[in-house]
Amino acid sequence: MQVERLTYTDEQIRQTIEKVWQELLQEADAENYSLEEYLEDYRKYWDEPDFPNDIPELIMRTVEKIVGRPLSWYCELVRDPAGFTGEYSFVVVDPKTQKCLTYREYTSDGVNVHRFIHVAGTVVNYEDIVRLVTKLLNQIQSALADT
Amino acid sequence: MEREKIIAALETAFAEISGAEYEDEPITFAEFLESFAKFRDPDFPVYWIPWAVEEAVEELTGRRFGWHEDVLKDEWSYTGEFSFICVDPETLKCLTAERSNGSCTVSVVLPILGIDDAVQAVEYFLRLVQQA
Repeated sequence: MQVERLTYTDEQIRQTIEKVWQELLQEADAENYSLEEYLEDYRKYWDEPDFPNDIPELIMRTVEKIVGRPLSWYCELVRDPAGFTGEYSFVVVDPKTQKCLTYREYTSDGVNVHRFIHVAGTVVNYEDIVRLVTKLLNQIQSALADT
Repeated sequence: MEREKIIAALETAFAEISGAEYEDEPITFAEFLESFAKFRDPDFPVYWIPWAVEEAVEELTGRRFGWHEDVLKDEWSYTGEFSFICVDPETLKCLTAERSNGSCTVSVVLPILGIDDAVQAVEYFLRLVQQA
């Protein structure tokens, strides 16, 4: 089986985030709303039911553009009793093979196996978005290399 | 699989998950679900519900799986629906992934507002494991 090799740089991730943001704006017919402005509003209103949370779409479209094909994914907005925590939990699946690309397992004490099928991260600012995209790409790259 | 066996597995899983919480006044999983369905209390340890389903599936199949669960809410309270994702650690296949109309969904949403719903949820996952 041919193994996909992903190549990406921090600069490419940032450029792709900006490109995807412009796409999202066009789709929403909302011009001149910079990502910086959006993030300011996001920090104020992220737990309001009417606030359009574009973060999961922004992150996953960026990941898909860099991977070069669509992926299947699920995103949980993590809540505690006080409301949304700012944390996102992503499960990513290859739609061709239905393989979970975010699966990891660790063994503690040589006995207990801990299984995780998601990659999580908190997003408060722009750098958090870059970090979470990078984390997802690293995980996906490692999963594809194991194929 | 017999309904009684599934209920027994759910009750055992729930007793383990709830631990010492209800030691003084033990309640069954069925009673816990009734209470959840009635009050939908925001402070309710609602994740115990999908965890009990997952542990029962693992107990009945004798296998471990990778899980992700989400408790669905609307503007006001819990809807009584749970989103599940199940991955087979041997093949890494996402068992809940489903292709339809050219796209592939990852999770499955199941309503669990009573013991009958919980039994159906376990039966659903047992079928998925069997098919895989």
